[in-house]
Amino acid sequence: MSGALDQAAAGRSGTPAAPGAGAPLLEVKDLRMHIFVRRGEVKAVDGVNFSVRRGESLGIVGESGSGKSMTLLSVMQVLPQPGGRIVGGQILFEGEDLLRKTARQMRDIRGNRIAMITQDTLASLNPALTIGVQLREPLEVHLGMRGKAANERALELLRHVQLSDPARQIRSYPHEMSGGMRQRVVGAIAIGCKPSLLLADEPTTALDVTVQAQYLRLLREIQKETDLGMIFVTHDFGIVAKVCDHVAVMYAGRIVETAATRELFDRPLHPYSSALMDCLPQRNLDARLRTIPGHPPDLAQLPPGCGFADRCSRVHERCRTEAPSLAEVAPGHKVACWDVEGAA
Amino acid sequence: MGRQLAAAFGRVVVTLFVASLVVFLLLHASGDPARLLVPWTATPERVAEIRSSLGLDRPLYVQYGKFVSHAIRGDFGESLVFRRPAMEMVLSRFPATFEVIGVALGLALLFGIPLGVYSAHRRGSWFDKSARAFAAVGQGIPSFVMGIILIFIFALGLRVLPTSGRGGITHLILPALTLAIYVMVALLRLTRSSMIDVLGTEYIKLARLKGLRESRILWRHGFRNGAMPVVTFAGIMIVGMIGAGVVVEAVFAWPGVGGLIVSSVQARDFPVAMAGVLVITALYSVSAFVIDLLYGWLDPRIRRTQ
Amino acid sequence: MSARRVAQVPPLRWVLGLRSFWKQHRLPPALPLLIVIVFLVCAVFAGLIAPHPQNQGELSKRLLPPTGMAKADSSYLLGTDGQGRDILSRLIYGARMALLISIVSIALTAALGTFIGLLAGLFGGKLDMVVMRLVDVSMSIPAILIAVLLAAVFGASVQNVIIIVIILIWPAYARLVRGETLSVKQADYVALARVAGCSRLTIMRRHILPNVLPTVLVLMSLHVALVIVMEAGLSFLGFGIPPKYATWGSMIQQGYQQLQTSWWVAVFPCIVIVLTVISFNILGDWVRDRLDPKLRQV
Repeated sequence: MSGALDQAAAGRSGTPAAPGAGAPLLEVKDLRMHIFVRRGEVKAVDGVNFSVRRGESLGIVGESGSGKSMTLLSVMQVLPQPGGRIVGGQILFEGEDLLRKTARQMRDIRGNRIAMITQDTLASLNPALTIGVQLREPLEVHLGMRGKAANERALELLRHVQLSDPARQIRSYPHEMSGGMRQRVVGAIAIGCKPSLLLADEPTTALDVTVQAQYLRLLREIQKETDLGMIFVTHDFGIVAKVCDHVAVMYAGRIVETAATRELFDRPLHPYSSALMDCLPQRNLDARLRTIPGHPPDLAQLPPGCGFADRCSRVHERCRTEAPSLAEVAPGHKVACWDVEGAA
Repeated sequence: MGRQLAAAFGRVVVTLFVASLVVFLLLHASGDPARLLVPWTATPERVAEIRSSLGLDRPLYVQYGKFVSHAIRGDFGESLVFRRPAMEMVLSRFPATFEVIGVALGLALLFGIPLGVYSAHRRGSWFDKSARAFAAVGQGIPSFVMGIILIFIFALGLRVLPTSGRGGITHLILPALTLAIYVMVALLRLTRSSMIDVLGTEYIKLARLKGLRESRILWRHGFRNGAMPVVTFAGIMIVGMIGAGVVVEAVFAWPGVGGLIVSSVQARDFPVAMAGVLVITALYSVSAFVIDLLYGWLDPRIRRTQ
Repeated sequence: MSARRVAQVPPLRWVLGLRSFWKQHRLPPALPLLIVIVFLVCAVFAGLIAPHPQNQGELSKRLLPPTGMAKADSSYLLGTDGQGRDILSRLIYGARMALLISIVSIALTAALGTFIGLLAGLFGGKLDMVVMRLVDVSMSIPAILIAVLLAAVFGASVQNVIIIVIILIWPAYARLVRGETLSVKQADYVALARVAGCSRLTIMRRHILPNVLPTVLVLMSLHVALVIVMEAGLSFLGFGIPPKYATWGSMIQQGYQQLQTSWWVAVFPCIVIVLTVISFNILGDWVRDRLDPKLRQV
C-alpha cells in the first residue's frame, strides 16, 4: 500500500486502534424501517440491534426478503422510494446519531466515511460514463480533489484492487470489462475516500466461484490494512466463515441470534439458525440437501408472536402470542427464542 | 464511427430516393404529367415544350432520371399561379418555417424534458399526477384544435395576441406555442417513462450511496441514460412535428413552407406543392441524420463498436 | 367513510357498490366508456337521431346561435352554420364518417400488416429484410406530405384518407406481428407441430395466428383515436373527406374563420373531437393493460 493512502488514513482518524478495542464504530439500536405501500405497512426492518467495531467484520445472514439489505440501506438512509421511511431507533456512527443529521450532512457521510458495495455489482456501474469518471466522482465531491490529483488517486485505487493495466482501464466503459473487473472497480469506488465503515451487500453473488474467492481475499486484505469496520450481508454461511468475526442471523426483519462466528457455527441456538446450518451441503453428510419447510411471513401482516413460529419444529404456545427479544445466554451470544434455556 | 456515419448517410439517400419516386409516380398516375405542370390556359406549344423537356415520350426510367436531375438542380418548374420558379417560392418561405419550428422545438425541449425528468423523480406526487393529466389531455387534442383553442382564448377572448399572420414577436407566440405543446407532450411522456426505468437501476442507487447531490444523480447519471430512448424516438417525433407544422401554419395563416404547400394544393399549383414536399423531406432526412450521429455519441456501447 | 354512515344514505351506498363492482371486474373507466357508446350510437343511427339533414340548410336561418342565447331557434340545439345547417345534426353525421373511416382503414391495415408481418417472420431471409426496409421507409416519410400530393393529383376523396392511414400505420402491425411470430416460432409446441409434419400454412393458422391476435387487437384499439385525429386534420386542410359529407374537421375549417362572430360553429366540433379522442385513448390504454401489458412501449 502506498504512502499517500497511509497519510490520508492517519489524517482522518488518528492512530488506528487495535481491532475490537474501544467504543463501537457503529451502533444500531432498535432500528425500524417500514415501507408504506398500498396494501399496508411492510415492516422491512423491525427493531434491529447490532454494533461493529473498527477492524471488525460482522456478517448478517438470512433468506432473501429477511431485511438484510434493507438494514444496510437504512444505515445509509438510501431507502426504497416511494414509501420507505425510518420510523424509529438510533444509528450511532462514531458517537453521532445519523438519524439526526440533515440531508446535506448525510450526503457528506455517504460514500465518504461510510461506503457501500451494492448487491448487483455488475449493474452498479453507469453504462454511459467511463470508469475514471465514476471513480473520481466521490473524490471530487467529498475530498475536493481535482484534475490530475484525482486522476492519480483513481489510478492508485485501481492498482489497489489489483486491476491490470489501470492506465487503460480508467478510460474504458463498463461494458468493455469482465464481471470480475467491474466488481473490483465497484470495490475501488467504495474505498476511494478511505471510509471507516464498509457495508457490503452480497457483493459476490453475481460472480463465479474462483473470482468470488479472489474478491473476498481482496476485501479482507483491504480491511486489515485500513482498519475498516465491515458489515457483510450474505445468505452464504461459507462466506461468513471466511470473512466475518461476528454473525447476526436475521429473520422477518429482526435479528434472532448473534454471536462470534466460531461460537455460532459450533452452537447455533435459535431453531432458525440451526435449520440454516443444516441446509449447508458440507454440514449434513447424508448427502441430501435439506430445506426449511414453509415460507417467510408476509412482512406487511406479521403475526403477533415470533415470526418463525409457523415453520419452527420447537414451537410453544407462547411463541404465537408474544415475540421473544434478544437475550444474552453466554458471553457475546444472544438469541431471541422462548425455547432456549435462559433466554428471554 | 465511420461505418455508422455511412449507415446514417445511406438512410438519408434511401429516404430521398423513395420520396422522389413517390412524387414521380404520382405525377404519372394522374395520366398526363405535363397537364399538371402547366396552367390550364397554356398554349399547346407550351405543353409540347414541357413534354419534350421532361422527355415524356421516352421510357419511364429515363424520365425518372431527368426528373431527378432537374430536382437536384432545384428546378421544379414554374408556379402555375404566380409565374415564378417553384423552388424560389419555397425557399423564400423558409425563414418563417425555421422561426416557428425552432422556437417550438426550443420551448418543447426546455419544458418537456425537465418536466418529464422531474415527474419521474417525484413519481406519484401531485406534480407527477398533474403532469400526466396534462400529457393525457395534450395528447388528445389535435394540433389544429389546439391552435383554435389558443386563438379563441388569447386572440379573441383576452385580445392580447394577434390571430394570424407574421409580424413581430407577438405573431410568433401562438403558432409556436401550439406546435410546442404537441412536441412537449410527447417528450414529457417519453422522458418520464424512460427516466422511471433508469431511476430504478442499481447504478442510480450506487450514485446515491456515493453521496452525490440529487441534481447530479438525476442529470449526469440518470438523464445521460434516460435520453437514449428519447433520442431513438426523435426521428418519429420530427415526422410528427413536420405534419403538425403544416397544419399549424395553415391555422395561423403563417407564411411558411407548410402553409405554402397547403395553399398551392388548394389552388392546384402542382409544381410548388411538389417542390415544397421534396424540400421538407430533405430537411427531415438531414435532421434524422443528425439524430443518428447524436445517438452514437450518447451511447458509448455504439460509439466504441466497430 | 364509516360503514354506518354509508348505510344511512342508500343512494350513496348504491353508487359505492357499483364502484367496487366496477373495480373488482376491472371494467373500463365509466365516463370514457359512456362517451364512446354515445359516439357509436350516433354513428350507427345517425339518420334516426339527427333532427335535420346533414347538408341542406336554410339560408334564412344562417348562423343561429345555440339554444339559450339571444335570437336562438329552439329547433337548432347547437345553432346553425354559415349555410343554415344544423350543427348538432352535422356533428352526428360527422361521427358516422369518423367511425366509417376508422373501421375500414384500421381493419384493412390490420389485415394487411398482420399478413406481411406473418410472412416476414415465418419465412425470414430476403423477404424479411425487404419488409423491414419498407417499414423503416414508411415510418420516415411524413404522411401528411403524401396526403398533400394525393390531394393535389386526384383531389380530396375518402379513398385518399384511407390510403394515407394505411401508409401511416401498417408498419406498426407488420413489426409487431413479425416480432411475435419470431418468438412463437421458437416455442416448443411449434417445433413439435413441424416435426409432426404440419405445413407452414397450418402452423401459421393453427399456432401463430391465435397467439398474435390479442396483440393486434390491442394495437387496433389504440389506433382508433389516431385515425380520428388524422381524418379530422386532413379534412380540416381540405385534403380529406370531400365537402359533400359532414365531417368534424371540415366543420372546424368552415367555422374557425368566423370564430369572432359565431364561435359555436367551430367550438362544438372541437369539443366533440377532444372528448372522443381522449375517451378512445383511455379505453385503448385499458384494452392494452387488460390484454397485453407488455405493449406499454407502443
